[in-house]
Amino acid sequence: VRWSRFWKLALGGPPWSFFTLLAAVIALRALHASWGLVVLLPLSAFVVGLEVSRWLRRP
Amino acid sequence: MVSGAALAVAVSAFLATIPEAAEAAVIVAAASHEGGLRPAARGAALGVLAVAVLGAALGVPLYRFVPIDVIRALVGIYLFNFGLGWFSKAARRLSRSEAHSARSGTEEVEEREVDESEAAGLAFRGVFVEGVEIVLIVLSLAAGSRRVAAAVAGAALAALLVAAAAATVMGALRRLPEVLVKAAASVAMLSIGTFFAAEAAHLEIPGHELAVLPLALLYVLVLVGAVAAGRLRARSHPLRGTP
Repeated sequence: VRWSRFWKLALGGPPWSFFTLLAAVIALRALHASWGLVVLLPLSAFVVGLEVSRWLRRP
Repeated sequence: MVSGAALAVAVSAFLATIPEAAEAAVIVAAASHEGGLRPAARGAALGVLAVAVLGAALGVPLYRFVPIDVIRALVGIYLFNFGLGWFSKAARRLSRSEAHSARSGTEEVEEREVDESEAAGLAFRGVFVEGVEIVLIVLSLAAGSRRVAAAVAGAALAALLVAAAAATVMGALRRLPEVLVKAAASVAMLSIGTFFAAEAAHLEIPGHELAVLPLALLYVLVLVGAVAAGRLRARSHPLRGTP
């Protein structure tokens, strides 16, 4: 629990969403993908949707 | 006598700082809902102090040795992640507003005790992250023009004006329902975080800074969809959804 709290403080929230977006930014930058918004926007909306659905399922 | 170039740098720093400072003010307002105005103000003051120390001690090496895109990506994704928690909580509370309001008094008191340190921490992190952005704005303007004092003065004036405006409307903001303030703050953090991430990845962003507005609309739509889905779920599984 302490480690999860530490990561949450250090990364602002869940590590999986932080690293997913970071990997996407690095990949899009490396690909020089000027069209990358069509990937980044659905991906960020998907990340939000996944985290919200996790919260909604919490007892 | 202030030269025209110095005035131009000061005005640029002033204008660029206003949105960042306003964002920090919204986060502090939402944090004050979490555990009270005093802990949030304490956290915000510590955040300002930490940014001032960081800017004075590490600002120049940070700007010189760490690429701006790296800092922008980290700050953007941090903001996004920070907003994600509040967004999810807001969606949950809005979809179960009746059940939430039915909590016992003891639960409210227990939550409040935990929330005081949480509010200070949230305000600190919000002010610190936005403050780092302001430090970078000042440094980039100062590096381009060699007018550090003008850039610092412009940014400081903008931050003071926003703080004064926020202090004036804080009472009204605190009268709004907590869940609405948090939802608004989280939508702002998600859209600005996405914008910074897109900028760091060198993507083509139609409308540049104005793209934050359609992004905010996108996240409002996601919130509306999540609340609708949560209400449907609570209706079909009434026992599972009760906090």
